[in-house]
Amino acid sequence: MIRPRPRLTLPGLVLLAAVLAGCGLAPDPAQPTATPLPGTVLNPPRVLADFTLTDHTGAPFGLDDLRGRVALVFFGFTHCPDICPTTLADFKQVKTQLGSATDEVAFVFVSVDGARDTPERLAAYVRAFDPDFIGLTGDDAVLRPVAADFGVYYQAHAPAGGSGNYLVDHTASVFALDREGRLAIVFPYGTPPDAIARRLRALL
Amino acid sequence: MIGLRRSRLHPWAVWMVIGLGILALAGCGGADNPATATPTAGGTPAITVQDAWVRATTGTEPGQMTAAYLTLVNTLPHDERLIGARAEGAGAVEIHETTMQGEMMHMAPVSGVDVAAGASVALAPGGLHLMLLDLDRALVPDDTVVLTLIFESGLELLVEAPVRPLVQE
Repeated sequence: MIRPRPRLTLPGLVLLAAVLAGCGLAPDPAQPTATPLPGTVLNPPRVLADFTLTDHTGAPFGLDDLRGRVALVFFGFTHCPDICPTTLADFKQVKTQLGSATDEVAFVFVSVDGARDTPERLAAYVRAFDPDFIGLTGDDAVLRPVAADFGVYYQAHAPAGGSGNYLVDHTASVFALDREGRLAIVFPYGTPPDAIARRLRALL
Repeated sequence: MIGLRRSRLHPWAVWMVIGLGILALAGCGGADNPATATPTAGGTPAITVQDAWVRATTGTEPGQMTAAYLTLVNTLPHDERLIGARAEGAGAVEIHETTMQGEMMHMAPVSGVDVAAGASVALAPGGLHLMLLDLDRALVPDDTVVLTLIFESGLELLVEAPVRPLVQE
């Protein structure tokens, strides 16, 4: 691991300036270096359209159910063997790192594969990571506008490889909603859990 | 930007795992180490498998799927190509690759994985992996799965891959 050098290079200054201009944030004084945390902060946070999906218990679930809490949201599907479990494992680590503050955070997995991801299947899936995680699913007609509102796109592929299993391409960013249910931060795929946890603390 | 990148697979970490694996195998007298199907004693050229593991399944009912990961090391004087695999208890195994196109995650089967002479290739989270389909049982941590890796040359390697928990510290 190469340590960031203490002196600012020209590209570093440009990046820092861009980040400061883009999100209007002063550098976090707790940060020993000038390295900005990953993630795009939306300033002001973006209001999302209300929606009604079905949660992993089979109950209706909408944006109102998240208001009052900060939420971390990821779109994926349970037949995804690689990056979906990797990201939910990261969610679990974020939860662990937040400690007692975790009561004020909802961890939400939204299926982009409503055809296979029934509430029962989602329940087993999210609980395999954490009993408090929330799974949401819905018909394609219901889900597509919700996903689009987050800036998420998905596309199922015809089965390949002879197994009848099909795969779904999908946006792999992680989203943080503030207590008002507004989109506040977009984290790129692969953002380390400690960076997400530090950003979430700022929303709490 | 190096400090911002995911540090899941630092080379030193991979080598530490390999080193620990070798120590562990030495400690239990693994003369018939299944992860090294081709004799390597005395540095005999071979294709070997390091750090094989399988992610625990997320459900308990039959028909689950998951991914297996490993590193192929080729000290043979010729190239090899992994063209398929079998897994004990799996209805099918496919070689898949996850790629990112911007923030869009794309996953697709690939026909094979080339391992050039003297090179190594990692099948690791976020990239190449073996997709184990239609499992006849749930896989829980400390289980092992016997994988058979099939190469274009006709070589087959048996690997005993431990099951790791969904969330690893």
